Amino acid sequence: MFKKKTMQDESYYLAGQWQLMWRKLKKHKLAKLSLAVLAILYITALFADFFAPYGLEQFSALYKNTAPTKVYWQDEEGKLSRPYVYKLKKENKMEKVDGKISMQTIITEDTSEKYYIAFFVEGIEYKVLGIKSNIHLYGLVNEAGEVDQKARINIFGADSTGMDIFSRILFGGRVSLTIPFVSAAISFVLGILLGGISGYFGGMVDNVIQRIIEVLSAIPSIPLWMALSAAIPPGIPVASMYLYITIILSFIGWTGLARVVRGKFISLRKEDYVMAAKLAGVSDFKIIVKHLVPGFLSYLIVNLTLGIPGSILGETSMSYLGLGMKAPATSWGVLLKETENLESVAQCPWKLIPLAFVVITVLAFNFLGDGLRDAADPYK
Amino acid sequence: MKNLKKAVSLLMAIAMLLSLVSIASAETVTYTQAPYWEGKDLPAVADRLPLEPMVEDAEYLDIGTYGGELKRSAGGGNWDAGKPIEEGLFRFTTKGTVEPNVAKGFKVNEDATVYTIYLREGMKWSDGAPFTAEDCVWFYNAVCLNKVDSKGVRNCHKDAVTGNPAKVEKVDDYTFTVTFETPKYTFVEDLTVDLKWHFAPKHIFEKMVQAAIDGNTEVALAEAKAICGMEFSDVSKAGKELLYYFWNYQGVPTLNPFVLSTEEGKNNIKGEYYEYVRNPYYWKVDKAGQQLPYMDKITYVTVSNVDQQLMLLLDGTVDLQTVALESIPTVLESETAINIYEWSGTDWSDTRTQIHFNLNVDNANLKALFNNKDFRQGMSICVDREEFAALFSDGWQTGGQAAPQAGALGYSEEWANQWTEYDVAKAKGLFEAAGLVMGADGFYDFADGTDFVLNIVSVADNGAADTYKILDPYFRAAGIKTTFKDSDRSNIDNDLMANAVECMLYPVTAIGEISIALKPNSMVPGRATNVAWYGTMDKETATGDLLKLIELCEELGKTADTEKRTQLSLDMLKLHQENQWTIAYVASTPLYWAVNARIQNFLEDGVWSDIYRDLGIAHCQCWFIQ
Amino acid sequence: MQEVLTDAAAVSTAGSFFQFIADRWIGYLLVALAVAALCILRFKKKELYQKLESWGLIFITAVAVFGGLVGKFIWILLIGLLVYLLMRLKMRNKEMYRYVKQRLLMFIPTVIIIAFVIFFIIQLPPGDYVTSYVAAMSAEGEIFTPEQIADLRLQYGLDDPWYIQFFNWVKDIVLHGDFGYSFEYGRDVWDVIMDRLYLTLAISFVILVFQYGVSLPIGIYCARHQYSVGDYALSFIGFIGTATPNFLLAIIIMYYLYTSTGHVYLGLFSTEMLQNGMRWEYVPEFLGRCAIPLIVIGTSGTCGIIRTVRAQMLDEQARQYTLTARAKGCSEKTITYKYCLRAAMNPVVSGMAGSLRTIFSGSTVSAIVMNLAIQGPVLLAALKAQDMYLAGTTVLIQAILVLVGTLLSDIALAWLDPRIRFSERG
Repeated sequence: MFKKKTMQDESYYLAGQWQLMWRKLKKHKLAKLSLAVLAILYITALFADFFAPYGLEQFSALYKNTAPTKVYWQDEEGKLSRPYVYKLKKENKMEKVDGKISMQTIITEDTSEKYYIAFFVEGIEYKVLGIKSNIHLYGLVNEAGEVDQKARINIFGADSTGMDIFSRILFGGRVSLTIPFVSAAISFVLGILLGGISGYFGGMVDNVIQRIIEVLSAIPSIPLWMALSAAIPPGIPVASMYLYITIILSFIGWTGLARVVRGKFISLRKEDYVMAAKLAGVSDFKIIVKHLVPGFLSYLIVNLTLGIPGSILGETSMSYLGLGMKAPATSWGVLLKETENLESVAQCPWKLIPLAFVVITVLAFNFLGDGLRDAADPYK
Repeated sequence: MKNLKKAVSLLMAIAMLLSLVSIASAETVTYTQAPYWEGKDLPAVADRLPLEPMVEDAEYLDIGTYGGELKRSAGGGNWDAGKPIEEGLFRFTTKGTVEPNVAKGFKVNEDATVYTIYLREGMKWSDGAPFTAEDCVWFYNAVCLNKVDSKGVRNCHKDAVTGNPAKVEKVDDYTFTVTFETPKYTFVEDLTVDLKWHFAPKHIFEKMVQAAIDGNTEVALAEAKAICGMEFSDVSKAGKELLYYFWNYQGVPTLNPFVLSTEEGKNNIKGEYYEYVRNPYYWKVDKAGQQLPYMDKITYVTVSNVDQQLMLLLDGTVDLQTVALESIPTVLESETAINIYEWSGTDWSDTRTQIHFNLNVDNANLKALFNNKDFRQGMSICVDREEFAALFSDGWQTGGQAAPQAGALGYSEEWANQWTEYDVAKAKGLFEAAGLVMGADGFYDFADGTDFVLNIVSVADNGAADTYKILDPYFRAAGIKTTFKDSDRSNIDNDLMANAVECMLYPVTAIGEISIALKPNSMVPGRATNVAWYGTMDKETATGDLLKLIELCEELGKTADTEKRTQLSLDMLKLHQENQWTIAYVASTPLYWAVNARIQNFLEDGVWSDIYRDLGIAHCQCWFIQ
Repeated sequence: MQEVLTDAAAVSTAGSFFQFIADRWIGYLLVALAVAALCILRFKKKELYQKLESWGLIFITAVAVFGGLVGKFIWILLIGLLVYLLMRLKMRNKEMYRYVKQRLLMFIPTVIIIAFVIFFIIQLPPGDYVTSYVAAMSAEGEIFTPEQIADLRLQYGLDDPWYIQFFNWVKDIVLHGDFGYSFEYGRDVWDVIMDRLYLTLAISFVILVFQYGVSLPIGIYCARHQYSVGDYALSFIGFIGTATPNFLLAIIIMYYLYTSTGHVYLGLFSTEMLQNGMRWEYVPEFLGRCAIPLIVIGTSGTCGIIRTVRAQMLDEQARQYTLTARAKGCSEKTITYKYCLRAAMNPVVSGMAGSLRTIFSGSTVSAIVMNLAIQGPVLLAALKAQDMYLAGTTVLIQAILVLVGTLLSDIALAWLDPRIRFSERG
């Protein structure tokens, strides 16, 4: 052990705390993987217009509620072929026999024409980071090499307006990977700050902050949401409305963390090292940030990583009250909200795929948090 | 001509009387009762029935067997449980004619000022007390005239010319008269539409109503509590609940086939479970002389949403449910045997795609625009109905316009297809004709340069958000910028009252009935405060065709002659056709009933209409369980 | 006496305050008298007081039990018990007593502030019950004149500014035990709430116990076996539980049960149970039905607790004292449960009240989806219909429960960590 370290170059001993953390983080495989996953998620969300084959308003009556498109790798004779798909055919049948109605929708593949999967195909126009383009990562072309918007490739199936769920997930990521972060971050900062002040200084300040926390945390969220919902005039774009609400709610959501931080600070502030720092004339703020907060970093990381799914899911609940995001704007919360009825779960299980993205994101954040925690731990 | 009409209605009344007499004079039938009543402490069935029970003898009805229960789910609504079991003096048939029900028949004098109504001798309330003309007369004179039930004198009792309330007098125990100052040709139809019943159990309510009239609050409230066991905060609430929503309260005798249970845990319509139990004194029999109803009970489990109703239907916990078109495949796939029946509706279009503007909005620019026919036409034709309907309904429905359905008064093919073509260029031309100017951002502005944004609102959870999602791209393509907000009913209501709603994507419940002549005020401004249609418009603020519409409606109220009434109704409809104040994009669909196969005698091709009492037209007292 | 006990509304609307006290507030009066007597004794005759103290407390408790059972005011019972416990505490642990006393004294002003905030929030949406009522009636075809609307407002007491309404509401609660009148139900708010209160409390409590019962051991396990397969698997399952919206989980479970058994399990009671009342043979099914909401609402919170416990345990395990303990030869068991766990419990315990709040809010949407007859859906409907006293009282009760939870968790914290109670002296 000792030997190994001496073998490394001198910089290990000269490295600052953050450099050390980064080094340790790099060794944490799962954390690295998580970081990569998050990077992919953020990049695809940012360039969703490019990665998604279809836009947010490309509805299709034909593909309404259809399963993921079947991709063929072999042609009729069983030979390996360039991957292709068929267009769908839909037939509605309704009969009335003896006063009783029977109806049926038959969806079949129209095998008369093949549509090949192609990369960098033309689609609807978009503008991202100031670049105007109509090239999409992948799409369908017919045998002549032309783009036919009537045929669709929906790798995760289609929703109730025939839109590609995969495309919607990518676009939804723009909202779901950012706004919950904002809200979690605000709550986080407020929680540490106010909880810290409360626990560190104690006395009257503590008492006042504690009562505020009690009042805020005792008020159930639903009446609050209803009041906010009523207060917002029509005409405000959905996404910014959602952002405002999230921010408002995060000003209430810090109480839980603040209580914990306070409890921790009370236990820690009498520690000898804090006393020493105080005697050495270190400012209170510096003591809080440099000496006390690192003392329970793990908890803070857990809190932060759990705050994000909380926010993503909070949005689905808000949708119930007409407060969350609404189509055509999309988010993962909206996608999950659309599965709220039995028929979606029973007839279109592919609509549950967005759930996997929420889980993956949450897990990635969490494992990254694990890695950070380990990295921040000076004893390891 | 006028005399002929009178003669016809007279003849009709006499014919009704005669047919009843002929039934009564037929050979004596032996009446049987349900096994449910055996061993119970009740008089013999023949003594419980009136001397001449009403016979449910519609052709499609089979002779049933007793027992079982109809299992239903409820969202806590009171009409849902009330309409199917409601019994009025008269009732509508599926053909739109009126037939005697609680009443045995009626007679009208030559100038249609005096109606004599005959009741069934020996008929009893569900508590066994005799039902007589006194109950009818007292109800009108004590309850209606004093507005104890909060509704007061209905239109049917108001004189056609003077508007004065009619005089209702008792002749004998089974006869009473309704006297008007001037001829009232439509009294019986109006009665069946407006009031339905014309009676209340005097023996139960006399003290309470008297106390309410005298202003003796404490006594009235104590009486109300003694009747139903519920506390009421104020007399008007008690009066309304017990005399208007009477079927919702235990302990209130009715003439209905089923009466709310008095058992604890089954008697609260706000609870999780409640049931209506057969009325031992029900006064109808089937063709074989069996006392109706066949079923012992109607049970209700409270659910919170449509999805749950569907689930319970699928597993057989619930017998009967209206289902959306999209849900029919799921229903047919279930293991429970469920039949789907199609009833025609009276909506002018698919109500989920109706959009209407506040014609009395405060903003002058918007008001001018909304009142401009060109603008409405543009909004109508900028949507590709074929594509929209295919997406909206998975190809089951077709595009359409808000217009009377085929077979309804005022139907014309021209109107049904009015402004339904898809023509964005023409729409843009119309917007410009309406005074809008294309702005630099590709969206229309007002001529004075201010931004035009159409703020659409709706009530949350009625699916409007999904409709809007599909509509919005069309509007944008035509240069119309829109926003959408759905919120709770109470917020919308509040905004409506404050005249703060500009445009609604919401069912105009008021439009669409069997015939406009039966419910004319549903078509005009001033009534519909729950929709933005005319906003807060009334006779003072209305202008142009809207004012004409109000005037026609008023005239209709004063007109007795049937033919003239029809003409006035058609004139009103004509105004609607010309102006198309409500735009719709998808044609209406029939109503689909999913009925568990064990239910027999269900009405296969009914009509869903409020004046037919919705499910009430299917006469659930005649259903039986196989 | 019998007559009087049955009903609060009749008396309170009659408005006779003295009558009221004379008839039904005997319980309160006796408690007040006993407390007053004890206080006098405490300062005037200390020896006698000390002798009497335990007897006096038993007396108070008895009176409170009587009051609680006789009236519908169960809190009389609770107050009695509380006083008793406080007295016991005072004798045993002065430090804790001082802390608890201070917190209890803050309780009442906090409740009043909360009530005020709640009332403010509830009346915030525009319109009032009369608006929704008039709109609903217009939909039925009734036409209201502005005068009639004003009359209705007057009748319901909605014409006053909201703070006056608030004052009247609080006044009636304090003086008459009258929480107001539910416009929508046409009944006393308290009666409406009582319909579902016990079930709501039972479900919330069971869920809370379930959450902590499941997640504490898992958290400890994960910390002790960090980065093991078990750790990853349990974390993964926990995160799925957290990341799935409650309503979706409920639908998935219900659908799965429907396809596998052919029955739909909606609500806690089947139609048969509702028809026939509870019978022994229904108990297994009832318990099975209870398991669904337990899993659905419970799992949403478990992950948070698991991760918190795990992280805390990991922190503590790396501490110097753990090392010292290990060096001294303490068994791993002692280290884990006696030292680390105790220190790690701090955030878990302070989060408890938060969990309760989350359960209350989280259960609303789930309760709608699963058709549970608990308070949540009633609250939502009341908020929508602007049935303000019903909504206000429901929210107030929830808030007080959360507050009590906060109080209890603070006391538990102080008990766990003596540094906290010293700190209170500033």
